[in-house]
Amino acid sequence: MVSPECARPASNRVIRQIPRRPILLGLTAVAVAVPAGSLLAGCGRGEPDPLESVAARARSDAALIDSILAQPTIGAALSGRLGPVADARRQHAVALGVELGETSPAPAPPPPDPPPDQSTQPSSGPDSGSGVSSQPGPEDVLPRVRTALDDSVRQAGRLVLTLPRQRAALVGSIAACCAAYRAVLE
Amino acid sequence: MSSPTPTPSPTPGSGSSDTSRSRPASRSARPSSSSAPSSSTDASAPLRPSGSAVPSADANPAPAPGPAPVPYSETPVSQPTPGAPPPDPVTTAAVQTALGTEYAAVWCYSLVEAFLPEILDRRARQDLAAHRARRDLTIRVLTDYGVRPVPAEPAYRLPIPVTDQTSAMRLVVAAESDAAAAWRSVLERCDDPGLRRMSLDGLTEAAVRGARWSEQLGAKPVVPPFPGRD
Repeated sequence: MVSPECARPASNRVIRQIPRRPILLGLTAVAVAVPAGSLLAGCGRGEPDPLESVAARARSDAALIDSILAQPTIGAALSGRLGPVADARRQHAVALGVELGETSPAPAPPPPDPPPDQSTQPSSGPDSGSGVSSQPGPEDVLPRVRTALDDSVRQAGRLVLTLPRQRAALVGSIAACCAAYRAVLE
Repeated sequence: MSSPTPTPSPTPGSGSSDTSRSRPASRSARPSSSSAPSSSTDASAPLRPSGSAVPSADANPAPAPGPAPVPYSETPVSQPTPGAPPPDPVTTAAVQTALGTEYAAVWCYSLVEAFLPEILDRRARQDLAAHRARRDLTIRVLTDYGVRPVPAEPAYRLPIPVTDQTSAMRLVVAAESDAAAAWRSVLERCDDPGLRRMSLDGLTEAAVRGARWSEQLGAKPVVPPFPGRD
């Protein structure tokens, strides 16, 4: 005859001695805390706000156009077409700065110190990265602006899908504005 | 916030062409944040131009010239994600409003054709085809949601009398502005990435078309810095 009773009492006694409620509470706390912690880590200080890259692009587009407009070879007609684009991009940067909670009026894009003389073209160009070092003719100015706007449209278009609603609308408008300017700069 | 849009003031009869298609009018298709989606077809009904032949927004196919409009997006097809949960009433109301602006745009483009020279008329027909396509897509989306799409109004009130080429182009600029605002509003009221992509396309295409017409008009800037918002 197998009598289970003989083994049971001992183990039961052991189990009973362990306070279950605190353990369960502790496990629950851990279960809640771990995801919350990783979640906070994800959206917190670790990663930059996605709008920052959109604002950076807006500023760099404005700087690119400003540097183009500063060149003496640019005619009035072309500057009349490009000036509003730079204005719009500056407004985008400001609006994004507000959304980002920037208190100062944004690291405003000062019109890059115009290099009026092509005699001195040192390496310290006004724009970083965009590469306006050579002296382009107006004919290759528009393609560069179009390319920059294309990139901006793509960047904003990607972000629109995932941002919170209000931000999605803001970035969507920015994408639409860039696309519209890009279309009329053909 | 809201940009200048066709104001729904009862246009006094501009005596001339009362017969046919003269005065559409864009009802202000601006999406009001949370208007009832379906039941309000009468409440928001624009004035009907007495007359007869209305360039009905539903008169579908028509000459669809030119190539199919290409959405300005990376993804070829932009529509709600299949299997996504049905949107809330706020979202569907915004989509219904957007559909209303597409009806109005179709109506406006149908009207202005008569006032445009050949070259511009060709562009107008392309834009008309684009709005028809978007209208049909929007109807499909709403139907898939299980929501009955609002019907087109028989006619729309003109914000400005259309008497010549300039006023005709101003009308389509206003219609595009309305469409941009409506699609932006959807963007502001939905979460599904597919619907967002569709809304972004609607907003972007309206901004692009509006910019081209504004450029033709010599208006500056050709596009507001935040299309759909101002």
